Amino acid sequence: MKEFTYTIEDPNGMHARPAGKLATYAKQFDADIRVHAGEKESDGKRLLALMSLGATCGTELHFIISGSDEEAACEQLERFCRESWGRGE
Amino acid sequence: MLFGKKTVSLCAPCTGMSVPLSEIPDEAFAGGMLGDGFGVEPSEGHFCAPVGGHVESVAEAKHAYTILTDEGLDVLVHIGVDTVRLNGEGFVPRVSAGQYVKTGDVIADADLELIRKKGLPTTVAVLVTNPEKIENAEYRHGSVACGRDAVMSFRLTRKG
Repeated sequence: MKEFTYTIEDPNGMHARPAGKLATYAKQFDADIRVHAGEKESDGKRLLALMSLGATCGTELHFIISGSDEEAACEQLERFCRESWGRGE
Repeated sequence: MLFGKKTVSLCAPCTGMSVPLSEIPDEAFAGGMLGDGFGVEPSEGHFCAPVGGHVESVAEAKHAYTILTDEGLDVLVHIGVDTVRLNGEGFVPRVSAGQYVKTGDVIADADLELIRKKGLPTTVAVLVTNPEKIENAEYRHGSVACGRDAVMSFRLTRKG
């Protein structure tokens, strides 16, 4: 199991577009990707589940990744979050 | 075996003109990145469920509604483009998360005039965000009535 945390920087929080980008990116991995926000938990590959986290700007997301390609998935997802996800769409 | 052969339809979430996804003035919707579906240019500000299911979430900004159908389809109804920026202004949700809705049940009202005044397109996007579960989608575009006219019909795949 691998994990990392990322704090949402998008001023509008986890709305449709960022949730879609994250789910699309996450789908390329075989590993199970769970995203936690406070008490809530969701499937990182499902746009709707990510939206239902209701995560706003400043919310800390905790990613828990497990599966055959967890190492690569964790590293690439974390880079995706920090470098392209929440910035200048 | 009839499994996998079932036809499902998504109907118009509002009265207006339905258009292909590619005509929605937003690259994320138009490019199909968020899923398969269609757009409707609303002529009235009343919105309904395009399909029955459980309301999974109502966005903080009240502009986006998600429905999980009994067949496991994830359906997003997104009112207007970039309307997340309005922070709820102009939107009145008529449902809450966890509620069960039938096709045609009212889900929200929106002030189309206000959205236009803010310089944002009012186009509504209806998307299946897990398109791997559907195939053979067909569309019927043109003038549509809220909750009455089917715009998109497809079959369910065996996946998932």
